[in-house]
Formats: sequence, C-alpha cells, structure tokens
Amino acid sequence: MFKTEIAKIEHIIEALGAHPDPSSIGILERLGTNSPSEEIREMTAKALVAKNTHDSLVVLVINKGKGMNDLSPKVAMNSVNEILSLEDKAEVINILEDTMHLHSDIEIRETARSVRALIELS
Amino acid sequence: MDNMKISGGLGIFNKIKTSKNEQGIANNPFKSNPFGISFKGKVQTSDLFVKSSEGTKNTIVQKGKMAASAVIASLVEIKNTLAQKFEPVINFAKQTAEHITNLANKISDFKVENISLTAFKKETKAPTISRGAQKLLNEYKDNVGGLGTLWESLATV
Repeated sequence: MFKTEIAKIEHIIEALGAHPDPSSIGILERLGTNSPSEEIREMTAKALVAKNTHDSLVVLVINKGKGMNDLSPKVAMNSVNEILSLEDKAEVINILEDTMHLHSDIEIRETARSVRALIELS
Repeated sequence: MDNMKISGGLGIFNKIKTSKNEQGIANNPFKSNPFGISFKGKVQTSDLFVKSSEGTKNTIVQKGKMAASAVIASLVEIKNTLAQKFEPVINFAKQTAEHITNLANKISDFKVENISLTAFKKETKAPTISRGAQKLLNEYKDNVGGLGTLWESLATV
C-alpha cells in the first residue's frame, strides 16, 4: 500500500471516528481492526476510543487480536494509551470490570485487569 | 582585821562584776534573748524563757505566727515584682490571641465560591479533525456506507 493511499485511509478513519452514525463502528471494526497494516490498526483503535461509546470500546477490550489485545505490542500499547488518556472513563471502566469477571479467555481477563489497574494509578 | 579586809574586798569585787553584767545585757539584746529572730534588720524579740507551767506550746505558736507573717509579706512582694516583669509578656500574648481570633473569623467568613480553579485545570483540547477528513465527513454525512466502500476500493490498490 502506498503512502498516498494510507493518507487517504487515514482521512476516512478520521471521518468515520467523527461520524454520528453508529454503523461507522461496524465499518471501523471490519476494515480497520482486521487490516494487515499496523499503522491502520493503530489509527482505527484511536478513532474507536475517541467515540467513547459502549459499542466502540467493546471492540477494543473484549476481542482477541484487536485493540488492547492486538498481537502487535505497538498497537496494543497505543490502544491502552488512548484509553488512559480518555477524559470520561466511566464506560470503559464498566466494560473492563465486566471483562475481568465474565470473559471466558484468561488472557483477555488478565489484560483487562492490568488496564483497570493502570486507570486506577493514572 | 584580816577577815574584815577580805570580806570588804570581796564585796567590791561582786559589785563590779554585777555592774559589768548589767552593762553587757543592756548593750546586747541577744544575750537576754538568744533565740531572737531578725527580719530585714529588725530584731523580733521573743521571750523564750517563759515559765514551764505555760509550756513550750505557746512559744512555738508565737514563733510560727511571726515566721508565717514574714513569709506572707515576702510572697506578696515577690508576686508584685513578678507581675511587673511579666506584664509586657502578658500584653503580647493577649495581642497575639486577638490577632489569631481575627484571622479565624476571616477564614470562617471566606467563601469557597471565591476560588477559581480554572487556572489549575488542564486545557481540554476539542477533538480536532483534519481538513481532508472534514471534507469526507461533509460529503458522506448521510451515507456512512459510502466511506466503507471508498476505504475498500483504496485497500485493494
């Protein structure tokens, strides 16, 4: 993928992040979080966190290989960093606590527990 | 004759001895009152040689009263001296207490509403969006699916 395409996709991701239509979350999840490009996955995570809704945050918290559970440490850390810099963390805290107690995957439960602890410390 | 001379000599000797004793007593009052108490140079005379029938009890009471009056007089004097010395300290303490009371009143009257916390708040930046993204957002305002299609077309290049 060329740099110009990536720049255009970056604009699309930004536009989807600011779009009031809830179906924009589905597009970001389908095309962004599954992209082979780390850069696009990072930008997608940023856009989903910026939305700060239950549906957008759930994508990053509970899905294996997406958002803060991404296989790339760079993408995962970037997602965690975006979550920590949220001004209103009420929704993400609720999702993290549910994930800590109810998720079937132990790795995702432990990641959620770590991020919850980081929010307490930040 | 010899006996008369000796008895006459003894009589003169006794007279001289008596007069000397009387003179000595008159000059030195301590000789008549060896237990006299002196306060501030003034001798407090007290006749200790009272009759045994009155007993020593009265004497002790009398001496006790004298000592007590002297002690009280000294205490009053000490009290006055100390009061004079501590007067500026007491005034300073009173003034300080008054200042503290005034400060406490000012603090209690102070309203929290007067404090503005805006200076301590971090400036929260509004989410910025690039010009290109804003253009796309306006273009696909009512058609979010169009943005998805555009993305897919770019990804396949």
